Order: sequence, then structure tokens, then C-alpha cells
Amino acid sequence: MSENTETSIINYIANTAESFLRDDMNLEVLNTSEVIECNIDERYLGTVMFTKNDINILCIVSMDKPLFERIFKIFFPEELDSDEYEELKNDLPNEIVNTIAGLSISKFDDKHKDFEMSVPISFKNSAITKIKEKKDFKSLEIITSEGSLICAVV
Amino acid sequence: MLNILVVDDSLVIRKTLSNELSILGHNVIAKAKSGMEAVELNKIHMPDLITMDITMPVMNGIEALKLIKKDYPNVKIIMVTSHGEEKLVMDAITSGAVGYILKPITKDKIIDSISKIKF
Repeated sequence: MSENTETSIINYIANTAESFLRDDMNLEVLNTSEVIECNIDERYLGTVMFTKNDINILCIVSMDKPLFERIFKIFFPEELDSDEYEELKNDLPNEIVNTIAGLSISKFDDKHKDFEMSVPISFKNSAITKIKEKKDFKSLEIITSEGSLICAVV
Repeated sequence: MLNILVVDDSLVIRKTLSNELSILGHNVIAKAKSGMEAVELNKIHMPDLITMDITMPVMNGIEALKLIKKDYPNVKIIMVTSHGEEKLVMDAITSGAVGYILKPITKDKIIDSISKIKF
């Protein structure tokens, strides 16, 4: 994958994520910038794969705890029993990446058209675990009034 | 009030969609996690309307839509998708879907989609 493709795709995803946070979640977006350092172990993350011919691009959307908890409350303001809470907590990052990445695909320019998107991939998958060792993420961090969301492509 | 089958592999969507539909006065008679399960639950419950996710593992929403419409041509099916991709949506519409809801799901989008269906 070329540097240009990575840059284009991360910009599409970050733009869609900003709209999602601002327009759908009604959160204030303060700033978007490149990520200097990030420990993804401490974040809630969802992952999907974009594929076209022999190109595979992993798209990751991760949130820090304060932002994730705020978004969770927006989705589920009601009282939940503990089993349902745990299940929804595990599923919500997948749904967020699915929404943001899916909406991004429709905005890709002609050069990046025809990518297909996988269903969300569980982070427990060993292939995904390997990304933790990679250092060459192309990533952008969106700071909101409630916490941070990082979009990354690998 | 409509009897509705909600189909989505995501628990988040099954729950949010069911909550919103119930608030709007509809009856969610069953929820399916896959296209395969949707085909079976449609036979059992015979809903007025199905909300069908497009991207699901094992059997996707478009395959399930085609199977259901083959045996139950009168059931109304709305696709639920995060994809703005015209190809997938057009495939669903030409296969018999009566509309679609683009995620993220809101009450207004649900009302708008259902109001356009002719029962």
C-alpha cells in the first residue's frame, strides 16, 4: 500500500469520524492531529478490513475510556443488567468502526473506489494482535470535549 | 402498529433498533443475528416488516432477502447499512427491498423509512 493511499484513506475516515462525533453524538470536536504515541491496550477499539484485489488495509477506530463511556450512555441511557452491559460494551466499538468505516467508503475518490469492507474483526484474533507490535500506523487523533478517538490504518 | 423482525449481527443495533421501534409503537416480534436465522424466524413469525442488516457473516442480508422474498413476496424488507455504497443498496432494492436506513440509526430515519412503505 502506498503512502498516498494510506494518507487518503485515513483522512476520509477521520473526516467521517469527526462528523459522527459532532453531528450524531452531539460532542464538541476540539482538534484533530497526528498521533505521536498511543497505547492501544488501554483503549476500546474496533477493527475492519478494507480489501481490493491484493490490497488489504486494516482500519482501526479506538476510544479512550471517558469518550467510550460517554458514547455508551448516548446509545444506552437506560439501566442495563450486568450481562447485557458487558455484551454491549464489547460490541459497541465494533459497531462504531463499522459505521465510520462504512460511511467513509462511499466518500472514497475514484482512485480508491471499489474497496470492500469486512464485518468487524475481533481483537482477540491473533492476526490482529500482531498489529500491536507494528509501529508504522498512519493515524489521526480527534480530541473532543469528552475524550479522544484515534483512527488508524495499517 | 407493525410486527417487525429485526436482523443484525450486532447486539448494539438489535437493541437500539428494537428500543426505537417499540417507542414508536411497533411490536418487535423477534430478533435474528444472521441471515440464516432471519429466514427461519420469518417462517415462524410472518412479520409485516423486516429490518435487515446488509453485512453479516455466514449469510449476508442480500442473500437472506432473496431467499425470503422468493417464498414470501409480500413481506416488506428495509435494509440497514453503514454503506453509502450504491452497488450494495441497488442490489438490495432490485432484489425486493423497499428502502434502507443508513447508520447511525435515529428515530427520524426509522419514521421516514417506514412512512414511505405501502402496505
